[in-house]
Amino acid sequence: MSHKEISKGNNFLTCENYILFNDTDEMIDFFVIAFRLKIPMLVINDLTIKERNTFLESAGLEKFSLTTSKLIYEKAKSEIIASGKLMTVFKNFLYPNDDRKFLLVTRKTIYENSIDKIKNQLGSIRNQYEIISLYSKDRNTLKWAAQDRRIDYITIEILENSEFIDQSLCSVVKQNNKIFEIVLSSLINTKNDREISEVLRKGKKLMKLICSTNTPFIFTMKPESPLELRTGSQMRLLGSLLESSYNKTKTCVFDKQLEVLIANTIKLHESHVFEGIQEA
Amino acid sequence: MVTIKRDRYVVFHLISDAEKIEESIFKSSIWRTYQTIFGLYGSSGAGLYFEDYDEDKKTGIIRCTHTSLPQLLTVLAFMTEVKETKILIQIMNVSGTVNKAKQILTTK
Repeated sequence: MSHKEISKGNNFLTCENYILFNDTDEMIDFFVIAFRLKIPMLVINDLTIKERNTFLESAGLEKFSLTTSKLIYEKAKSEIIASGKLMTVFKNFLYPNDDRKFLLVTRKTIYENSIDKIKNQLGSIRNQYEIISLYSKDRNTLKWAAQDRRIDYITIEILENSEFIDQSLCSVVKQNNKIFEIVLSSLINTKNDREISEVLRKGKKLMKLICSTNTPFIFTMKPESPLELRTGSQMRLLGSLLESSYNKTKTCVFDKQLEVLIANTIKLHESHVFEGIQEA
Repeated sequence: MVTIKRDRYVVFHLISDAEKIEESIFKSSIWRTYQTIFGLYGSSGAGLYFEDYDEDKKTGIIRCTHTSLPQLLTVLAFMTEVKETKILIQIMNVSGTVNKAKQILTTK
C-alpha cells in the first residue's frame, strides 16, 4: 500500500452506518465533523422515516443541505431509466461534498434473541425504516434472520456476540445476500491493554472466518459522540488491525451500504407498491 | 534492491473541545499508543519525529518512514483522548517532502 493510496483515501466516499441520535444539537455537531471528514452519508439509528422528514424541516439545519434517498431517486428517475446506473447517480450527487450535502438515512436495530419477538417487532415497524439490522446472541435466531428478507444487516459487536458466528451462519448469510456489520467502536473505546488484546484476539478470529468464507461485511464505528466518527480510510486501517486486508475492504465503507440503501429505496417507493397491497 | 528508507510527512489537524493541547502531552500520547499497538520494536523502527505542531491552530506534521506509514495512520485513527480530553485526529494529507507538507499546512 503506497502513501498515495492512503492520502487519496480521504477522497473516498464514506458512510457512517450506525449513529446513535440523542438530540438535535448533538446532531448538528455530527454534521459539522462529518463535513470536515467528508462523510456524506449518515445513517441514524431509531429514527423513523416520518421523524426524519420532520427533522429535515427543523430549525438550525439551514447551513446544511440535507436530503433523502427517495428525493435523489425521484430527481434522477428519468436519468436512471436512460442509463441504468443508479449507483453512479447517487455517487455523483454526493461527491465532491463541498456544499455541505448530506444523505440522511434511517435505520432500526432490533436487539432480540427470540424469533417470535423479532417477528412481532418486524411487523410493527413495517415500512418505517430504510434499513433494518439485527443484533442477537442466539445462533438459531441469527440463522433465521439471515434467511429473512426484511433484515438487511446482522450486527456484530466484537466483544459481545462474535462467538455466535460460525461457518454455517457465514454460508447462510452469503447465500441470502445478507451482510455482517462489524462494529469497530469496541476497538477504540477500550480502556486497558487487556481489553484491547481481547478485542484484537476475538476480532482476528472473526475476520479470519468471514474472509475465509468470502461473506460480505461492512465496517461501522457506531459513534456515540461526533468525535468518534472516522473516515472510510481510517475504518479500513482499523480493520487491518484485525488482519483484514486494507485493499480488500475498499467496498466495506460505502459501496455495500449504498447498494442496500438503493434496493430498499426502490422497494419503499410508492411506484413500486401495488395498490392491492397498499396499507390504508 | 532498494534499501533506502524514504520519509513521509503526515499533515494532521486535531479536532477537540479543548482550546489548547500541549505539544509534549500530545507527543507522549502518540508514543504510548504506538507502543500499545505495535510494541517497542515497532515504535523504534517507525522513525517518528514531530516536524511541526501549532498548539493554537491544533495542526502539525509528523515524520515517519514510508514502511511505517500505515501503522502511524492506524495509531492516529486509534487515538480517542489525550489526558482525558476527547480528540479526533483528521489526516489532511500525506506528503513525501517537508516543504510540500508545510505548504499544505499553510494553505488549508
